[in-house]
Amino acid sequence: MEKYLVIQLARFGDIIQSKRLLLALMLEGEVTLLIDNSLINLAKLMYPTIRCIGINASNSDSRTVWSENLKIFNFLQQEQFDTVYPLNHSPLCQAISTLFEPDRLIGYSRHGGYSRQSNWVRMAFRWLGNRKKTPINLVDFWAMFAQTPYPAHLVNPKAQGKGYGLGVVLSGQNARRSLSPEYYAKIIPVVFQRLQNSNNLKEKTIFFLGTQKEENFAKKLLFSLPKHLHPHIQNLAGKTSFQDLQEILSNLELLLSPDTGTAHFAGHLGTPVEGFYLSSAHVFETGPYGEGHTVWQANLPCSPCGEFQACKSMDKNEPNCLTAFNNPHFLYHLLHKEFTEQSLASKHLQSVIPYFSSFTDNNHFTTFLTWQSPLRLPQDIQRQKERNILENYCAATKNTAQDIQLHNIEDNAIYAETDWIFPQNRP
Amino acid sequence: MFDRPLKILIVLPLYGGSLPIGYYCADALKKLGHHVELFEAPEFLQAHTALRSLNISQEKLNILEQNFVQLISQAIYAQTEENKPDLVLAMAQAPINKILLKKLKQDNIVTAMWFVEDHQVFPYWQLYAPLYDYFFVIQKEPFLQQLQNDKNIKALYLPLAADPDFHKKQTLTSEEEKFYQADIAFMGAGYPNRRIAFRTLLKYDFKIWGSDWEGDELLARYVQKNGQRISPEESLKIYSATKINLNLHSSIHANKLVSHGDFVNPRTFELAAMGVFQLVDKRQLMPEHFTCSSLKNPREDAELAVFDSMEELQENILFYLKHPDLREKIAQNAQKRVTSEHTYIHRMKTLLQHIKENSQDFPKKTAEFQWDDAITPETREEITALLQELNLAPNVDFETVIQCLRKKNTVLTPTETALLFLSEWKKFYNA
Repeated sequence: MEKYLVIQLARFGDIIQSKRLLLALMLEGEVTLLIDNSLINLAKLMYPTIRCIGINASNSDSRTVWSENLKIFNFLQQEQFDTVYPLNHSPLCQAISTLFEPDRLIGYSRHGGYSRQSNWVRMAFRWLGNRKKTPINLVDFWAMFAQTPYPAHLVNPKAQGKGYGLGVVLSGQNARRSLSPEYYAKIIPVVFQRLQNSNNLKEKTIFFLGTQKEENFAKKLLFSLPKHLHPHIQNLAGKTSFQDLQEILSNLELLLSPDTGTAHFAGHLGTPVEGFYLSSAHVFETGPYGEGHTVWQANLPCSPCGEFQACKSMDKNEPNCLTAFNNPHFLYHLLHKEFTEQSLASKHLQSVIPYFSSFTDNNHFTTFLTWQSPLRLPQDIQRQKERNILENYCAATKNTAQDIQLHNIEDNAIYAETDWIFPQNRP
Repeated sequence: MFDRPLKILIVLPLYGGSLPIGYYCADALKKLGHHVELFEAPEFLQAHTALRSLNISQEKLNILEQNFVQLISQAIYAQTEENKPDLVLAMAQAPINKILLKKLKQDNIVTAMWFVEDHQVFPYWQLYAPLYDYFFVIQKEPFLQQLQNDKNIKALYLPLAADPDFHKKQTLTSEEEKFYQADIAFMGAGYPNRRIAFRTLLKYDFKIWGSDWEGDELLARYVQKNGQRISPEESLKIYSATKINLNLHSSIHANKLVSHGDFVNPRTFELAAMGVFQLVDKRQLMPEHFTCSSLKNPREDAELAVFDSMEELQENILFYLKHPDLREKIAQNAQKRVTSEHTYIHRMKTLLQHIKENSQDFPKKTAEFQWDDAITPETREEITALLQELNLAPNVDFETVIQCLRKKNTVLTPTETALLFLSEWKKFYNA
């Protein structure tokens, strides 16, 4: 049996977004997942049949980083993995990959002291040059590291509300990518009203979800919300383990969230997510995976911005991509979610665009998650073109029974002349 | 076909399956009497390997690779400026960038590519085909339709072939015979479909030759020479010593063992040219090149024994192992067919004919060699002899004679030197 090591040193959401790759590898061999120690419980909960190993990649003193990690590195080298998947571009991940022969590494390899990218990763860096039209999301990008990709539609259950309350993820790790309490306070009553109108709510509770860090956020939000909602609020910020979170998320009718690990966790459990993506958050990169989710994406000329770029599009100390969520047209559509020609004409949406997740073709191994909007934006047309090119590339290079559908590759941001002329690295 | 020999520059790829085909084309064109220059791109491969070996970041490597493509393209352009070919013939994956193709068009140099790849697996033809004057392919519909109608490209179906001067049955020493002989053998790379398919052949006297077979425990003991790459010369010995040469077209898809694709691979023509027996999977375009015979539909005049499924492969193996006379007969029929229709000389004739028929002035008229008053009648005879020695037509243009002289690596005769001097003198004084 083949032995695989997957190194995933990024955050909560990234561990969940590695799922499609891990499922493919689990079918073929024995998988070990190396992650940050702080996320070991989550990983074990998510992947009970995978061996999960925690490493001191954060929140440790240097002595622990040295002594504890040394033991793990010794162990990993002795394990003699057939194939190793370092998933992150980060120097920490690349450092660990030095334990293994370069020809066993998939995605990111190394030469001398430097990281080397496979052809697939190089393509990703090219398409990220214009994030507005990013063709595929992180789950599918990592999934294609496997020689036989796992069927996309089987990764997560189709999202369906269970009726037991509305979840609200207060804030992501990066506050700039999240709605402020004042904005959330306008959105929550509208969505709660919509759920009540639908008669699907068996339990009329609004769960505040987050870590201890968000306790202050929770207080501000409570203060800003209309008084009649206060009896419905159950503030769980800082009070839930991953196990508790799993239980609550599994039973919700809907989860409201910025781009967070909790939203991905809900996707994994088949609970519908309604996301609010602004700043550097981009639905086409990190939207919740699976069919039946909604994301309201801020759409300004600068969207999505770079995570570490100073915002140059501000109005009264607030980024314009945040104030976009204060637009009455947005709130109208948030309440009705009908999107008829008439409603879109009279209540025009421009700075916030609704997207709905689905899979266009469940028969293909190389199918990617699709986000469709009732508005047909130019970047979405270009994105579809590049997705087709990638599907064709994967069908031609992956072990699938898939017929290759040839697509126009003119004006694409994926291929370069060097791809044709020089020998290629392994995918 | 032409009133003078053509000057043709063949641009080879740095690596890959179209590389040997480029060499076969060069030989064929020479045999047809044309002057062939090769752009030996494989010699740049080591430089590229060296670039990839540098301890630099990926970003810097990307820039260097782009510049390297540019540099190679410039080198090709320099060669065309020097030799002024009538035709630049590029093989698939030739390192010609878009800028160079546009320059060649401006310079009125006719360009063609023989795209000996699967158009679905290598979609780059979309970007390059419109920049070539002629585009030759190994697949038919819908590809030809897309090229001709959608993109208005002068495209032609030009199937692969063999070189009977190279692809010849070998006489082996007794040691070689012992080393290479097998009832069944396959020579080629370990594509996923072949790996799975060949697991059903382990009960036979079976040998696998070629690379990319590592990691398959079941097949490991059948893989010869530790999976080393086999040179074209050695592959001839293998084919010659094997009773049944398996020819299973490659597929990346492990669950499509017999892929039923359209184009016919070079191995089909090469084995046929050698007069050795092959069992080959049925391809859509095969019947127009060979008379195909299967156990279900046997043909008296069979040139190829084909199978349509893994079950049929097994039946065929059992059948043909028991019928050596039939193997011999089919192999000989195939050899005759290749010799009469499927050599690279045939293909190059077709290629040049197509270009001629679709061009207004191909090749361009050139000034004939003008006898200079200064050249005495005695030296004319010498020059005539020289032209014969250089394999040049009597009406060749002056510049071609000079180019041929420049390439001579020997000490020149006084007449040759005088011609060179005359050329330089004319340039210097613009005479």
